[in-house]
Amino acid sequence: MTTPEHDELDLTAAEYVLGTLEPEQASAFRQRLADSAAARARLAVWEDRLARLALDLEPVAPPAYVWEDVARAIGIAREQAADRRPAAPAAPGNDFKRARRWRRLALAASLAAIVLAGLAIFELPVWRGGGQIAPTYASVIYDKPTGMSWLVTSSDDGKKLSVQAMGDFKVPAGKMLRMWIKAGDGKPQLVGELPHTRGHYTMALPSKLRSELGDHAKIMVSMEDTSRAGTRTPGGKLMWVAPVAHRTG
Amino acid sequence: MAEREQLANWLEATARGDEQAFQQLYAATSPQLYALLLRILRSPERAQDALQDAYVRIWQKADTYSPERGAPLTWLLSIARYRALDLLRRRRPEVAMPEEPDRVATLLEDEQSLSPAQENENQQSLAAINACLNQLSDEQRESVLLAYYEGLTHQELSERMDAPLGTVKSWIRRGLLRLRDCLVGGSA
Repeated sequence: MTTPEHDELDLTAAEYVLGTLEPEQASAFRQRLADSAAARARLAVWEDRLARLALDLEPVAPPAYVWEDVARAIGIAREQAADRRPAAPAAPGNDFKRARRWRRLALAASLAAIVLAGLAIFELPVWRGGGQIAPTYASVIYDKPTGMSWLVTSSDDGKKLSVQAMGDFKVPAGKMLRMWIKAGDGKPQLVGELPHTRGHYTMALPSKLRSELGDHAKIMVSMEDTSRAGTRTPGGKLMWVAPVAHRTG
Repeated sequence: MAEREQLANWLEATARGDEQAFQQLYAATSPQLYALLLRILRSPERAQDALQDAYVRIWQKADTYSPERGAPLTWLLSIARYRALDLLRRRRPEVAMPEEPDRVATLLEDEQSLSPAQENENQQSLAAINACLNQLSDEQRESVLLAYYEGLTHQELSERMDAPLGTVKSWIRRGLLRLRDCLVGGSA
């Protein structure tokens, strides 16, 4: 037996999963999800129902380098990822593979140059494009509205910090994202500007920041006016706070 | 394709940070997720980017999976599809992956809810959903499938199917209701 209210909730959940809700309806439903166990339950049911449609599709093995990118993004060491490459996916066309790699390299290089130029002025640690580190600590920053995420990891010796930006995040003109490490009840310590365009960046972590990075630390990101670039205390809007986890195994 | 229980075990191990289990999960499931992403995004490059993002998210969120949320594979497919819809509507990210619910307890709080696991116990399957789709009118079925496989919005469906917007919305809603009633009632 269903009530009109139950039907409406059920249909809204179904259309949310299907992706046909208008933006404002989708936003309202997301809000409802935060408060309503019934809404979350309906969502889970419809996710399970509709995802079965995908089982009708013939599986297609992705190129091997996708796994390598995944492994890098989550911090599995490069050689480990190559050794453990799963399955035996169909080889993609070499031209496409080169194009994909070239695109990423070019992006990383150009963005690293921009970030380098910006940070050099403020005598902050310098990000460099690419490079792999074996992580000891890891943290994930996630922006729900856009789906943008950053993976922040530190090396075994704590001397290097790596950021993998998983996409492009739009920063308004005159603003910048600044990353901080906060240990326990201590004050946030400035790390530097957070790269906000897809790419992989590493930097040498100053010794005074290494001691801040631990199991009870948090990574914080604020949106600051660029006019505050010479300061070392947060003054803008706090955008995200992410816990730091110690890597095991 | 690995058995449901095996996938659930790998997901559980992934939640504990077991990289090898995550690798096995990827090997077993990525072809199905990639096929869906290719279908929706129609570009190998975009599908590969979405696949990478989806598995990073799976690595991050594996601890929020529980059997009550449905079969492991359908949970993984949902994550991938949300990412694909995000990419399709990058300028209007209205279909962002919702925050994870508080697992089992939240499902049980709602007396009226029928959990995916319960539905699975009723042997709902691909065959069942296909049989139920056949009970929809042609327009209802086509609009639901176009929305699912191509990520079309109401407006895009209206243009593709050359039908008024209100009519398309009605096809979708009535189609979903009939689909639900068929699946829950087991009349397929």
